[in-house]
Amino acid sequence: MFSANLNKIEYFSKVSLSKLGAALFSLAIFSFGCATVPEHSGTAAHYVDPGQQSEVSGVGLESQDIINMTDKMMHDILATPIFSKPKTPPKVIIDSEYFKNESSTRINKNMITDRLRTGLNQAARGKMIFVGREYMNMVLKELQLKQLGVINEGESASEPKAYGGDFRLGGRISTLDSVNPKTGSFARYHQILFEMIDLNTGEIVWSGSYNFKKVGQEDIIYR
Amino acid sequence: MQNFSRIKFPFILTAVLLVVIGCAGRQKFKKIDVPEAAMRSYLADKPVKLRPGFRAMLEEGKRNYVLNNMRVGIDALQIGHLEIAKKCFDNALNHIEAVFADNEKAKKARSLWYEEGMKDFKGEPYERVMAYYYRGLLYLADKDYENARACFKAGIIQDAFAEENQNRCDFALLLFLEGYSSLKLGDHQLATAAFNELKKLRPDFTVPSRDSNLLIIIETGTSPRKLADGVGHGELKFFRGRNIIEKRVTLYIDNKEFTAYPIEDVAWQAMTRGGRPVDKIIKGQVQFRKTHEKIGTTLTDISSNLLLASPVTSHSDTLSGVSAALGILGVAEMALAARTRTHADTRYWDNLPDSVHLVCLKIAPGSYQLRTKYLNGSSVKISEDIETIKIPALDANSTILLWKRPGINYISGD
Repeated sequence: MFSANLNKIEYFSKVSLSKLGAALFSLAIFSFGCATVPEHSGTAAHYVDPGQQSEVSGVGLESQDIINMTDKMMHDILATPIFSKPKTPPKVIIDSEYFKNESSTRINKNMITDRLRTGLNQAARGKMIFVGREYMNMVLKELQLKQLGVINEGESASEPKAYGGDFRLGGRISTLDSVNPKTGSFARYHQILFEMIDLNTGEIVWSGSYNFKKVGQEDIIYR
Repeated sequence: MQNFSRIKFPFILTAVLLVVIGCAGRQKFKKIDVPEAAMRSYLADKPVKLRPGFRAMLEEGKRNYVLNNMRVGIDALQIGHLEIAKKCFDNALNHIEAVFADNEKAKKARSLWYEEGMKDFKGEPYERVMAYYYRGLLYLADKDYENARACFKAGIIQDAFAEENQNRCDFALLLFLEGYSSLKLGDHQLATAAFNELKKLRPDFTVPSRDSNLLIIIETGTSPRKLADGVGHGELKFFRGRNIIEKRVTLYIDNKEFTAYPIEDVAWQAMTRGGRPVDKIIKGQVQFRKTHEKIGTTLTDISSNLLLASPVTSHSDTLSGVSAALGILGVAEMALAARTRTHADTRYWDNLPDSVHLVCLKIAPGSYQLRTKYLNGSSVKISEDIETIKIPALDANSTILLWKRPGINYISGD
């Protein structure tokens, strides 16, 4: 029995040894070389849809959130009778002055208020008058020159005067973060509040909010 | 002759394999070959002192993109190039904030055949926190207190990742800065909430008054270090930086003395993080390596013994064949073990400070002499900076930021 086994081994060793050795040797050459890792050559710049989630994404505010929230607020404001069916077009100030960021997300708030204002201005078709308060210095300089008689008063105003606002946008971005260090998962809940304030009475004539929660889990290698 | 070559074969193979696998010690990461003309053009508008950092950024690519941006960010801050510093920290934070799931490099870094350092660097929690800290300071200098606060809050979240058994932050520096930003925004409720958290960590800290208008932040010492230790260098260990002498800071503003409060020990933050989940993966890789090394050694030992015994038996050819087969398998096992890359990722942000100290004051507009004394643990003066600072007239909710390191300062609102 032992002799038979030895014969089998001998057969194996004679027939397959050279093949096995060659295979292992080739494998070694191919797989055990010094590993160097080249850097990727990158991707050429190209356009993507800003309304879609991009390849690089986190739990903060992103382009698709800004587009979605401003679209929603715009439709909501335009559906409010005080703005959609006014007796006289109200003068509205929409900027980021009273739009606060209390969140843990870095953001240029103007991105939100600028998009909301331009969207409303295009859609309102004269039902609202938008006052550019952030351009006040520009307006004041022009008014000063007009009052001094250095330049004429233009065609539209009989008595040059900057508009006061009837309504102004206020709001707040807040977040609630949670982390699970064991699983590496984290979540951020955003609550973005928009309100329109009557500048004569302080009444909040319209409110809208946009809320979303994003969760993510890093690859274990980063936890 | 045939018998001879068969007997020698495993040993020749062993020799060849050992030579080949000899270079599998540490993984090498190829630099991007940037044509010199392109590099010169890229560096042309960069400040001379920052060019080595920007060169590295281009040559080391995505793998070290965050790390190089962090390094250049601090270098830029130190020489007063704030716009570059802001851009660098924004770049670093954008990558830190992106969730790296299904990432090809991360997948490779988890495998047996690549080192952990294969992954694109995002830093350990203390490094991520410090990136938010610097970006927040730069917002603070620009009087953008909302985004400053957002940075400090986001940094606090990063710190929570380091706390294995408590889902809360213990990074006092960021809690202070969150509270201070809220104070400047007039959000007193939010400021109080942050300062209350801070007091739990630093009960002796005096909360700044609402009208404080000068925030002095002083950084001392060298950055915490990371070293690979243990079997296969698979264990990541954190150490305090070298040659740290400054322990305390005293300021004199027109000869009036102020002791800077040591609000944060960055090295302590690095050294006390909980165990990393990736450590378990590396531990498994080390175990794999050890097992295969053991099997390989055993097989080659048996192979040698059979080879020695073969001339004295009647089945010498057969035993030689068996010996050869076992030898090849043994060598293959050893090669497999040697090919396993268990080295922990020791890249670290090397221009961070060891500690951060601060002073908060209310000061009238004017020009002042500022003397900063750096003291060792026994309160002996190590070095001293003397400079003139100008405090402009400010509105009630604004503050001037003075950021200092020995021999370096930056003051906002100049």
